[in-house]
Amino acid sequence: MSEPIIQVKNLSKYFKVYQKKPGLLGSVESLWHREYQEVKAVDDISFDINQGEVVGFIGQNGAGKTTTLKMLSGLLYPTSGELSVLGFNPWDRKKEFQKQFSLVMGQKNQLWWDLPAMETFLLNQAIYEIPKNQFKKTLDKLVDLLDVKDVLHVQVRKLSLGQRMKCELIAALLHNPKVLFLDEPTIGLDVVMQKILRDFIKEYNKEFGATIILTSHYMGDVKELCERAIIIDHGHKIFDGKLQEIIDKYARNKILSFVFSKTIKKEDLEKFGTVKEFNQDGSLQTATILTPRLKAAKVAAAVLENLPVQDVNIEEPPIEAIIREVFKTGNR
Amino acid sequence: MSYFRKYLIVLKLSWQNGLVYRTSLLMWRLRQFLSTLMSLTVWQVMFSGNQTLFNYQQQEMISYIFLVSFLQSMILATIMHGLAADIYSGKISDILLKPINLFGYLATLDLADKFKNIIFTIIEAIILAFIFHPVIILPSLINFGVFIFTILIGVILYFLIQLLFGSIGFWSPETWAPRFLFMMFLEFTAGKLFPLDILPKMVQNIVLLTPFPYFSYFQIQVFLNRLTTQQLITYLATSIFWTILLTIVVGKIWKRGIKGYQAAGI
Amino acid sequence: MKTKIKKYWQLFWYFRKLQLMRQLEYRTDFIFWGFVSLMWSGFTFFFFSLIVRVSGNIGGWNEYQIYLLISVFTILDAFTWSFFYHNMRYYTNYVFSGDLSQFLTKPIDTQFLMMTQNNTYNNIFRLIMGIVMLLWSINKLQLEISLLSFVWFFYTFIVAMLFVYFLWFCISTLSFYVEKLDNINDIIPSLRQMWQVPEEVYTGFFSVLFRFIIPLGLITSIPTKILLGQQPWVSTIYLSVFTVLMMIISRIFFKFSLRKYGSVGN
Repeated sequence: MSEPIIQVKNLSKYFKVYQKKPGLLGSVESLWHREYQEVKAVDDISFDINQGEVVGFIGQNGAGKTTTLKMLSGLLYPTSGELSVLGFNPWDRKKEFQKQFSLVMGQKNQLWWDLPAMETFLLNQAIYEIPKNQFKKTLDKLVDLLDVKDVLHVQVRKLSLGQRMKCELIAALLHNPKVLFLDEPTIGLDVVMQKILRDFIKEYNKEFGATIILTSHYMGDVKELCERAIIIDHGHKIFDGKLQEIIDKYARNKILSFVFSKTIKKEDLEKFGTVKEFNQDGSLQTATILTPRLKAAKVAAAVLENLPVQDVNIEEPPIEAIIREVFKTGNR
Repeated sequence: MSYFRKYLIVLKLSWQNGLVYRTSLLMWRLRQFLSTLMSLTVWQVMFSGNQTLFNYQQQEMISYIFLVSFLQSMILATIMHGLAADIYSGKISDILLKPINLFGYLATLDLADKFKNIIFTIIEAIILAFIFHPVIILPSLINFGVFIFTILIGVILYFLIQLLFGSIGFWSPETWAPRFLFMMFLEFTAGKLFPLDILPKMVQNIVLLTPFPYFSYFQIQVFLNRLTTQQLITYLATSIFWTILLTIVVGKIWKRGIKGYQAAGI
Repeated sequence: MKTKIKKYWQLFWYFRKLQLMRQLEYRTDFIFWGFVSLMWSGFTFFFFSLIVRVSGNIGGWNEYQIYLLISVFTILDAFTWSFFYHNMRYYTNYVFSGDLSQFLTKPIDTQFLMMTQNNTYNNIFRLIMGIVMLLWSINKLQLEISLLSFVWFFYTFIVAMLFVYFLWFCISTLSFYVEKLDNINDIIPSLRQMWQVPEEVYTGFFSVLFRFIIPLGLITSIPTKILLGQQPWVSTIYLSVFTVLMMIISRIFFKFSLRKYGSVGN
């Protein structure tokens, strides 16, 4: 396998943030003297990404995900460390580099508001110097995948949020970038749109073979799209590997939910595991318990045997809970 | 007493806010300073060949421009530019929900802004005084009293105008156009480029029927004692007339606007 | 290299086309501002004609010479208003809001994008008015303009515009260094009064300031003088050198600011 397409070594980014004392006196004082605090947004991160991978950066708000992406795009100058994307140093902002990648940031838009999306597409064709044939082919394919054929010639301001997002994506992908950075791509979208977007990204990766890094704090995004996840907490990388590994390693429990046909006593259920919920829903009794993963099947069978169970369900805990576990235990 | 305390805090917060965006204020003052400087320079040159122009002596004209700039900074300083946008976007609901009077709130913010501007204007005035040596003859006590009164009217009148422009926000977020037109007329009729009475008599008479001259031109004429008693009374009456008229109009529009506003549940 | 120039040339005109499409979307806006700008020019002419008729001359220039100057100013201003103002405003907005990022990742020179993307067309009426006044003044003054003079005039006119542009760009680039600065964009426009008066108006300290240190006072005077048959060699060279200097400084400043933008975060 050739060199990794993205190489990051000991990358760090520190910011200086103003401190202001509260109150009027503080405001006046800040006229001539300001105190700074150093924030380590990204602290010694290293990773390699190969061509065609879809990697998810997971982390809480302010963890350093967006900062890392910005450094990879050449928008931010690293405080220390090395990085290379497609063999280029992003900060140099060489035209050759810029023609091969694309950065899409959730809420930001590049479409001209008062004109049809098509006009922005044509503009990008000129900026990225896309040959006519290639442009047409790519455009047709993207329009087809996203199903926006009818809205291309409607003014952007008249489009719905979903249609606009789709057109924004097309505008960002017209030049067939080899590397795609998606920063919070589904933020603010409804459930339906989120699925459409995720399906599209999956398709795009399959069709065009692009390497994709996406940041999100929606677990659904990561679960659907990324085989590999990098978890960032307070600027540090605390996990880098297959998503399934995280689940296997950190999801200690499984969730068993029951519906009972007759009322039972809580103590009876507590024998089998930690009771999380215990409700009377009209004439039905429902409850959920947590049991260690490996014992889950056995415990379920036991409950079924000993208590009047009408319905049973065994689930993984939501990945958010799993990740929280990672943060709790995984700090190096 | 606690009733007024909230307005005091608003004042204090406005100050703090202003200090954060101090460079913005500085830039604004720089612009004002430069335009006053331009005006004074041009007039000084024009008088270099003549003793009297348009019935003004050089000193009088310099004093006029000087005083008008000073006064304008105070009367025309306002934070209510964004009022229409705030109304349209629903931002003022915040205030409407609270036990504080909206107009009182806006007036307090405006006052804070005027104070901020005054401090700078004084500094600018000192600098300009050094360069242009305006001769300021202080008016008699009575005249000064009238002068202060007319300033009050000017401030209230301008506040009402801002409320009027702001009320557009009940129906549309854009006020740049009418506002620009207003400022343009203001600049050409009662601004610091030239005093109104250099224009042809007919134009003057028409303009004096509008509210424009009563934001600073009228006040300075009182200060400089350039008005006959008859003129003083006439102009005073006109300015008061406009104040009352606008109060009624603004009151009606706002009442209607707020009702519709609250009905829409913004 | 040749393809690069071709690409930028094409893009420049593409932007003009896009903006025209945009402008046609907002027809009322176009009419309104066209009308307002025309009125503003009208007021300016009126004001200066009033002054010059009463005082005989301004800075040694007689009535029609002043009209000539004002028409050169009007044409220049039509361009600055249409191109520079909007580009600068959007530029500072992008910097403040962080939207600049989207331009930084495109394979196009960022300064080029910032400088050429936006413009309006609503000053077209004013431009026509300015040209008409220019021709009328030339006629009244019975000037015979040789080909050399015309070319020279054209050259200094372009140089003057570029000087204003680069100076303005430098000032707008200050937006990288302050948190919020709406007013920064309006400093240069507020100096426009300077271009309405002949350079002879400035004496003493201001003469040094506005004719040498920052030769804003020369902007309209030099091209007009050429039309009047004069041959201001020194000033032309001086202004040209200054403009080239401004261009270099603005480029360096911009690059430097971008680097800072990238290290402080956006």
